[in-house]
Amino acid sequence: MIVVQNLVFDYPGTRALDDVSFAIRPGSITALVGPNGAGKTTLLRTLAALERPLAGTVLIDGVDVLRHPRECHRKLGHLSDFFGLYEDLTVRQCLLYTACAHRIPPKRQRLAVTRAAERLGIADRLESRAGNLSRGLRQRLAIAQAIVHEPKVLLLDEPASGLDPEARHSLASLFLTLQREGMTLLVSSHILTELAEYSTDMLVLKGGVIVSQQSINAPRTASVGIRISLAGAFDGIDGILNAIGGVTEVRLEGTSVLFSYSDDPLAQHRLLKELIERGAPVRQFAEEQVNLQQAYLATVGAAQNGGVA
Amino acid sequence: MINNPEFRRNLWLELTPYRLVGMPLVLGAIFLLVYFVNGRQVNEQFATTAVVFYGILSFLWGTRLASESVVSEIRDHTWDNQRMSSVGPWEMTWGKLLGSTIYPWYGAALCLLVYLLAQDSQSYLVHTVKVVVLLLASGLFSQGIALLSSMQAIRKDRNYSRSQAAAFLVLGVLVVVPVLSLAFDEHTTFTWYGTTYEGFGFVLITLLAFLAWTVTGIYRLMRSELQIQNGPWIWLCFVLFLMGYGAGFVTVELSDPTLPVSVVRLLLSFAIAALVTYAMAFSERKDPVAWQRLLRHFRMREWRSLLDELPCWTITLGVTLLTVGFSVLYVSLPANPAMHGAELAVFIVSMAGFVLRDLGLLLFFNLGRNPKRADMLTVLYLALLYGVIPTILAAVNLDLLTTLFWPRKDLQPILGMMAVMVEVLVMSWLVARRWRVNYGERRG
Repeated sequence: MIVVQNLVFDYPGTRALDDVSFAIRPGSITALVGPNGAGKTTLLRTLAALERPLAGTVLIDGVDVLRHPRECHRKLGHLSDFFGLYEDLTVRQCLLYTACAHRIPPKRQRLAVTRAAERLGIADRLESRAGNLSRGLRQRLAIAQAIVHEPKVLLLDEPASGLDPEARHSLASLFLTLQREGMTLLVSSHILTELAEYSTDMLVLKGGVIVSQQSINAPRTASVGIRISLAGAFDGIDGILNAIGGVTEVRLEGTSVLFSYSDDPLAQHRLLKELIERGAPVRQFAEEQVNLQQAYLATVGAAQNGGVA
Repeated sequence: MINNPEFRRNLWLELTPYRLVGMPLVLGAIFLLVYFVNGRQVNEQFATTAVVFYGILSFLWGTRLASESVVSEIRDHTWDNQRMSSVGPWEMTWGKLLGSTIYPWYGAALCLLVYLLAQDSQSYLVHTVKVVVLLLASGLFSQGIALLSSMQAIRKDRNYSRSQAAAFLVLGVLVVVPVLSLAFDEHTTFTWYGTTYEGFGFVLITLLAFLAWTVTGIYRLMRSELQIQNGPWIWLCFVLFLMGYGAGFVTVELSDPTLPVSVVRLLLSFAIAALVTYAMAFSERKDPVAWQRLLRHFRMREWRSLLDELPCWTITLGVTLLTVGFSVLYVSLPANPAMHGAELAVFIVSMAGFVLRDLGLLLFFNLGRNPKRADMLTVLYLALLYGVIPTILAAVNLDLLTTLFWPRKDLQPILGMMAVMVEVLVMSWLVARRWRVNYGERRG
């Protein structure tokens, strides 16, 4: 859905994006993470055709953003980190204006406004002035404006900043709903726990370079991460595991061992039986869900040590 | 127009029921007062009052709103949303120009209606219509210039406070002052390319032509804001129009008796092109990243993209240098009756050299590590180079050295030309060196 190739973006004297290439599959929610100044906002603004890069190609649903920016805007919704609203317009007028500006036919505009307002839970505020809304409601209105034309791709820069935990949770539910309806989302945020609620993929940007792109909570594949905890030290556990067919990426963490193995329950049962037969003091055996924060810290840590995850 | 989303949004904001009622009430009260003060007569004085209030609403209030229309969107963080909509540049141009000013126009239209009602003679109908057209066009021109200048300014720097944006209002008002004073001066005539025209008609046609160019300019800047590329041709046509329009005012009486009119027209065309080059060079962004992109297009032989992204001042500089080349050839022709053709050619080349040197200076400062006040610094240096230093040299009887700072036709023109060429070479070397040191290491 989003294909970026060799994207280079310079500010005078500073390279903000350095030969960035990645692809985002349709229907995914990708968490765009990275430290401050990593280039996240610049990347989102370039994808939204709001900034012109020095070099590179950006395709949104097969359309070249640099060559046909207006065509891309029909497929895109964007929420800026510093968004603004027309304070003197009502919520309905704000949404109606956006629907109109996105060329939704007049007959469908009212419906689009109602649908967007209902999705964001602001249907009861349609006649309120935007300037009178609370921070959370303003954020919801801004997101409603970004999705009123049902874009294929939604780019969100810090969408939950300033929201209370309840509003954040409902935002996560909304993103999952939009994803189920076929929308592709790219969300930049500092709040990793919030991203972990709904992200399927993670894109790590650091110093203008893509450090890693990986799946988070992705649908199960043939191989999963498994953690076993031992009752005490047991020399040679890694050797035993490496000798078993299908076990890969064995990593010792104190009295715990992490490794990849088949997601087949019977195969896992056989593995556990074999470990116990070989005398390993196993007290816990469980599949390990990849935690976004751990994955992010591990990735950034690896990048700092000179490698790329 | 009513289907234009931007225009419609402005209608929602500006034409609220209270405001719709308020404007005729206030204007009605004012006109009633004037009616009584005027001895209960609706005469020429009454019509003049209507024109004055039209001016206040259109030239002052409307121009202020037009100057703020895009700047305030940027300030309020709503501009990016507009840029990401499907509204085209043409719709956006009119939506902003007429939409943001709709309320003052509502009042101005009422004033014009009063002006028309105050006319009592059928015999002046044509003139009355012409005056109304001139007033409408002047209002649009004033507002258009304010919007155009604000949009040109935001291409360079996105952040403008309300007080800074007032400069665009001042500019918008200033451009209509000569238009109105020339149009309503009954004794003014214009001789253009040898034909004498009546003042009002000439000003009106000139105004309509410049209004068309202003709207075209806003449209082009709107395209740039919406990330749509502009080719160089429209700008090129505008510069040629300006040169042709300006050159038309040179008459036999105006020109130097030793020079034929054609040569003076060429020189004036050169001066206009050079002035536009300076104006654009100072008003456009001299972003090293944009230069890197241009260099990249050049290396990749992407000629179309290269032409699309060329700054306007470089295109105008090309026109200036072509005019110089043509002028030099023209005055050097043996059959040409120009007096001292060779000397004149040297003088023209010297002037072009000074233009190049100044632009080099501007680029040199802008390619620095912190180019924030580079344009202002250049203005300061140019004031030194053209004003302070030559004046000091002249005061201490070192007149010959002033050829380093001024193009002088009367004093060793060849020496002056050589001096300025050395300055151009030194400036070019400095610019190239600064580019290499600050930005040349990265090849995009």
